[in-house]
Amino acid sequence: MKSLIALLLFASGTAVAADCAPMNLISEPNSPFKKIPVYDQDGAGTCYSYVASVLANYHLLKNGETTLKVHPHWAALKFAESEKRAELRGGFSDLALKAIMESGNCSYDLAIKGIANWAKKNSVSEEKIIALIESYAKKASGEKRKSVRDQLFTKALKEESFVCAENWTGVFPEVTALEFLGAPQLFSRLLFKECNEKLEPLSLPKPKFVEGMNDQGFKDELNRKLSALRAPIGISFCSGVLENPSFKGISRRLEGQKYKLDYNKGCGDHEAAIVGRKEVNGQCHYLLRNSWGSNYSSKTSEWKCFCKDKRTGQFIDDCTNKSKNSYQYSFEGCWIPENSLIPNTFGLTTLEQQ
Amino acid sequence: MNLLKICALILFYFLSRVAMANPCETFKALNSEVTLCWSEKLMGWVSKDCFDPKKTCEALKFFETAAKISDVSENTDGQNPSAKLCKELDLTVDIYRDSQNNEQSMCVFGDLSMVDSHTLRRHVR
Repeated sequence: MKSLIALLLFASGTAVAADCAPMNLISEPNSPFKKIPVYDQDGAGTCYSYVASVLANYHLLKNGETTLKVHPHWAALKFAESEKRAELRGGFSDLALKAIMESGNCSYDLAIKGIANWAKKNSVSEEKIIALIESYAKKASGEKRKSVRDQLFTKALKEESFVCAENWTGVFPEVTALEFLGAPQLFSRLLFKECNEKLEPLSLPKPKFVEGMNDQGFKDELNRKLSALRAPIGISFCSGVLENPSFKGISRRLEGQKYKLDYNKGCGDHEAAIVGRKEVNGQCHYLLRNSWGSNYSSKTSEWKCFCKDKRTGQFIDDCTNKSKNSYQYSFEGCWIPENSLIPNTFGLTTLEQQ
Repeated sequence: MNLLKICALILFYFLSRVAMANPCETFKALNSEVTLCWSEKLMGWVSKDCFDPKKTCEALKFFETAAKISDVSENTDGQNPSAKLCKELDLTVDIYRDSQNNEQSMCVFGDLSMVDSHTLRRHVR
């Protein structure tokens, strides 16, 4: 009997260890994350485009490329165009990648140049341009009268609190003269003119999105994919859990072969990248690479983050706000326990060979 | 010998003052750059000019007077909650890159002083 119990205990421990074999894509030798920055999506709902950028650039850098190729703003633009959306917010990384593969990629530097040139022309920041165009496009939806579009643009300027609204008078006509176009089309015409003339083919493994599973299903799939692909995996989840470890943002109900979702209040649909895992006290913890800036760390002291000493390049695996929140460290990702993350997960995105 | 000791003490004093000065770093945006310095008091990045007692700084004034906010929406729909909070407080948000090329959103006040968005949020939550 004792030997049976011992065998069962050994088997369960082995099972956890096998499912949660440690890995860390940020700290591995020659990691593409040496070149992929920690992004900050600002107040825009374009998290999916940052995940698309991370997944694509990781693959490309791992397979011979030496520079970043896919810019998040280009990914957002192509997604919105392909889905005929008027706004850039609220998308899916797999669809963004498919759209770029179909239509062509704008090089990273050219994408930045397009935005930078327009920002310089108007003496405003990149974020202001994006916020303004989104705000204006939303208001001007379907409006053909130029005089009304002028008024709507002025309104958008005020709402976006431009410090020097008069900077826009020079390009005011340029924007409002365009027959109504959604935000994607405005971006494409105004910011990415050169991009559209110099598109490059983008070859990636097939983007794949899985959904409709229960907690165990998502956990098994995530662990399986991490082990098989050894590449970042996009995770769609309720960001409410990042503020409260016991938060549960979704309820699942079985309908036929798939689980349908009911979203609870405060879910906060979000997408980020899983770039590592390790076992802590019998529970698998996943390393979440978020797009909320390099000074973002876990709000709760129970979770630890993964930091880099900016002076030495050394990684530290147990950062918290209190212990390592200094000028010396950048937060590369945070460890989220499976009991918090998995019940809030509703999708996984991978790049897989056919 | 006494003179030598005095000189050594003076040199040590000035060197220690330099060492204790707030560490600063240049942050770059698309078309501009700013120098931000680390505030141990706030545990975050603040405009360099804010450390000059002769200059007024709206960013620091904010921390002296801001009350805790309990009713800010937690549901960010995937947005950076700190950047979202800055906008809800009628502040501008700009993205800057640090020495490691990592991005960080900064909340910009009317006098163009700024503080990193997570530091602002930690203060008011």
